[in-house]
Amino acid sequence: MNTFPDHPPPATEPRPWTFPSTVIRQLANGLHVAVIRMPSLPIVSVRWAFLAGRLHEADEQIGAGLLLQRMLRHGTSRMGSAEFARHLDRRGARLGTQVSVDSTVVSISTLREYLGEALQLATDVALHPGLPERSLAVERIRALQVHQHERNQVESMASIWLAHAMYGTHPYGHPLATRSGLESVTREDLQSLHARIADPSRAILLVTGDVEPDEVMDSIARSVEEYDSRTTPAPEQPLAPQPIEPCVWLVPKPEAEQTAIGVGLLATPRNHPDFLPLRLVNRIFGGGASSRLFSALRERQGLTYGVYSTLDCGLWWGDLTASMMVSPEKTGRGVMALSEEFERMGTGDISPAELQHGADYLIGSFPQRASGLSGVSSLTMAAWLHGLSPDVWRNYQADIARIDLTQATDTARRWIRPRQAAWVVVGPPEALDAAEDQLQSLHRPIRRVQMGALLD
Amino acid sequence: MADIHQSTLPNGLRIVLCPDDSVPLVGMSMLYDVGSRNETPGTAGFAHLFEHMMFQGSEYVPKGDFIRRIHALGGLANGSTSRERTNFYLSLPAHQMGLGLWMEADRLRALMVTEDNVENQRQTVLEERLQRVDNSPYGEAKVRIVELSYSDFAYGHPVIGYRKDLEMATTDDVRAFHDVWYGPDNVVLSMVGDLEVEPTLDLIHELFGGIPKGGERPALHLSEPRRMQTVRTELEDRLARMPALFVNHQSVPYSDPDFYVYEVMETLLFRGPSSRLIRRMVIDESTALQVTGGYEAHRGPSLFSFFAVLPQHGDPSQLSEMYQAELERLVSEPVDEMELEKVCSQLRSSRLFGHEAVLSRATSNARSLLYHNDVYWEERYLERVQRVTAADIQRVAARDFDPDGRVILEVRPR
Repeated sequence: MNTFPDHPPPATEPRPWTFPSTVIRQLANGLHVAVIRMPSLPIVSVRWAFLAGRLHEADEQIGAGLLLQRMLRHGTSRMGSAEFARHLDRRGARLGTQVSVDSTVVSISTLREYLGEALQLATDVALHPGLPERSLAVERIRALQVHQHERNQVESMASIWLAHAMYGTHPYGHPLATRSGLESVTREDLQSLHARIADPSRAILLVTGDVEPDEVMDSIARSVEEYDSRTTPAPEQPLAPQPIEPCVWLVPKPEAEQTAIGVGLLATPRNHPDFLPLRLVNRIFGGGASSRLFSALRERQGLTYGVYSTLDCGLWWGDLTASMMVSPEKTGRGVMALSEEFERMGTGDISPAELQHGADYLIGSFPQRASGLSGVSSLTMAAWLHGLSPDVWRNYQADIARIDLTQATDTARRWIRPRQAAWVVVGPPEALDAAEDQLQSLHRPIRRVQMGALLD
Repeated sequence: MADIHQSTLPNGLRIVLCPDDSVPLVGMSMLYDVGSRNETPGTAGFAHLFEHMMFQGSEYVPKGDFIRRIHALGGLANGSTSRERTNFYLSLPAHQMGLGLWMEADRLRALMVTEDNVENQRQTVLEERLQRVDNSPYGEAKVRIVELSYSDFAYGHPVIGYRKDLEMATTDDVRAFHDVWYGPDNVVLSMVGDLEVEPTLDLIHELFGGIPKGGERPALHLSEPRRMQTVRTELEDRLARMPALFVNHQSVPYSDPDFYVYEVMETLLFRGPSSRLIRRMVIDESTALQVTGGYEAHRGPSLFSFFAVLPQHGDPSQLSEMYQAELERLVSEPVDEMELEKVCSQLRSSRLFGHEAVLSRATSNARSLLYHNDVYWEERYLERVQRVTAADIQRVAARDFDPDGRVILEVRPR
C-alpha cells in the first residue's frame, strides 16, 4: 500500500524558453513586414494591423467602425461576397476583422499550403474591401437588432454606462454604436473611414507559422511594396478626458433577474512606465480566480458567480474596471463588498506573498500566452502598435520579476484612487431602492439615469 | 501518428501520455466518467455542483489553494461539466507537473466536504444559473428544447440543474456523489506536453496507485424511442427582443458508423461563411440574424440541432420550413465533389488549429479513450471523414431528417 505524500514532488529543472524571434523589415512605402517562424504545425496566420480605428468615426456616426468591421467580411473589389466566402472555406481559412478604438486588424489563418492565397486575400480585404451596398443593408439591420438586444442586457448596459461615466464624451467613452449612428452611415461614409484607417505607411503585415523567414520575406515584400501610402494625415492624439465625476449612477432595468455592478477609473496608456506594475497590481486585485476579489466575493461570501477586474490600456489612455453580477437582493451587499476591496487596494496594502504570487503568475503564464500562432501574432502586433521596444516580449518575464513591493505599492496608491472612481449599478428598480441606504456610505452623489439617451 | 502511451493502473485509473516538447508546458485533463446524464430526478445539477466542490479543499490542499498554487506557476486550472463527463483540466510549466498530479490525486482520495463549503458553492451555482438561464434571453428556451427532445430524464434535463433540486442538496448527498462517481476506475488521466513517459508513469503510480477503486456505480439505461410525430411548441420570453427558433432531430451516438456523415453534414450546413444555412439565411436572404447548430453527439441518444435568432418581424414557422427544405435538399441533390472537398479542408484546418494548445490535445486524447475506446481516434478522424460520400449523406439525411420527427420550439418576445 502506498503512503500518500503530504507535500508535492519537487520540481525538476525548468527548460529555458524564449519568445520566438521576429524578422522585420520596413518597405519604401512605410509598411512594416514581420515574419515569425513557428513550425510545430502546418498552419499559418497572416495579419494586417493599422494604427487607426474608431477614433476616426464622426461624432454623429458612432457605429461606423462597427459596420466597417462587419463589412470587411463581404469580399473585395475583385471578388464578390459569395465567391470570397467560398474561397476562404475551400482553403479552410478563417477571417478575423476588428475595428477597435485606435487600431484595425484583418487576419486570415489557414493551412500552410495556402499561404500565398491567404496573403493575397488578407491584403485585398485590408486595402481594397468591396463594401457592397447590398451587404451594408443586411449588416445594418443585423447591427441594429444586436444593438437593441444589448441595450436590454444589464451586463452590457453597465459596461456601456461605466465607459461613459469614466470618459464622458471622449471617444474612448463612446459605445460601439448608437441607433442614429447605425441608421445614418452610408457606403461612402464607410469608404471614407476605411481610407483614413488603411494607410500602409501606418501598418504592419505579420506572417506567423510554418514558414522560413529567409525564404518568404522577399516574396511577401514584393507582393505589397506596390501599395502607396495614403495622403491622409496621421491620427492626432485626442484631448484628455475630463476628470471623472465621482458619483454612483443607478440605471433601473425593470424585470431584471440580476443586478450588474461596475466601478472604474482612468489609468495609464499601454506605453506608460507604470503599465507593468499596474498590471501586476490588477492581477492581485481582481485579475483571475486567485485574486482578492474572486477569493473574497465569490469563494468566501458566495455573492456572485464571477468577479474580475480588468486593466484596458489603449494608445492614449487606459482604465481599470471591476464588475460582477449579483442577485437583486444582494445589490447593496455586493457594492459594499466590492468597495471595501477597492479601498483596501487603494491604500497600497500589498503583502510580499501577494506580490510574489501575482508576479509568478504573469511570468509563468507567459509561455502559454505565446504558445500559439494567434498569441504570438497578437503580442508582436501589440508591441508594434504601442511603439514598444522590439525586445519587449523577450524581456517581459525579467521586467515583471524586477517589480518590487515599493514599486507595486506606490503604483497602487498612484492609480487606484477610490474617491475618483465612478460606480454604476444596473438592476431592477426595487433592488436599487432597497440598496440606496448602503450606497450612501460610498459618500458620493447618487444619480438615477435612463439608458436610452446614451444609445439612441 | 503521434507517440501516445496508454496504460491502466491496477486500481483502474486509465492513463494517456503524449510527449511534445514544442513548448515547455504540460496540459493535463482528468476526465471523470460522470455527467448530468448520471443524475436522477431530484438531483438535477449535482454533477455540476460537485465540479465546484472539487475546488473547495482536500486533505493537503486547503480551500482556495488548488487554483492559487497553479496560478503561482502561471498555470491555469478549471473544470467543466457536460451531459457525458466532468473535466478537470490544468496546464502548467512542464517542470512543475508533479504539483498538478499531486493535487489531483489528493482531491480524488481525500476531498474535504463541509457544510459551509456546500452552502457557499450552492449559492455560487445558483448565481451561475441566474446568469446563464434565468437572466439570459432564450435561456429558458434552451432548457425547454432539451426537455422536449428527450423522453428519458438522463439527457432531457439541463446540466446546470433545477433550482429546487440544488436547494435541496445536502452535505451527505454531496459526499455520496463523491463516493460513487469519484474513484480512480472512473477517470481518464491524460497529459500532453514536455514530458518523459517512464518517469511520469512512475510518478502517477506513486501518487494515484494507492487510491482504492470507487463504489459500485449504477448502470445507465438509456432509451429513446424513435420520434414519429413532430412536436411544435411556443414560448414567450420576456428577456428576448427578437423571435427565435429551435429545431431538433434525433441523430446517432458517437459509436455509430454514421458519426462521420453527421460531422460532414454539420460543416456543410453551419460552418463558415459559404456554408449552406449561413449563406442563405443570414447573408443572402436575411431571414435570420444568427444561425448556429449542428451535431450534438453523445454516447447515448443524440441530436442534430438548429438555433436561429430572427429579425424583429421574422416568422419562425416560415424559417423552420426553410430549414427542413435545406435538410431535404441533402437527400434530393447529391452534394458535389467540390463542396465535399471544401468541407474536408475546413475540418482539417479546424482540427489543426484546435490542437495548437497542449491542453486541448490532452482533453481530446482523454475523450478519444473515454468515448471511442481508441487513443488514436483523433488521428484517424480526418481519414474517416474523407471517406464520406454524397450517397452516405443522402442515405443518412433521408433516414434521420424526417419532417414528422422534429421538435420545434418557437420563441416570441413578450
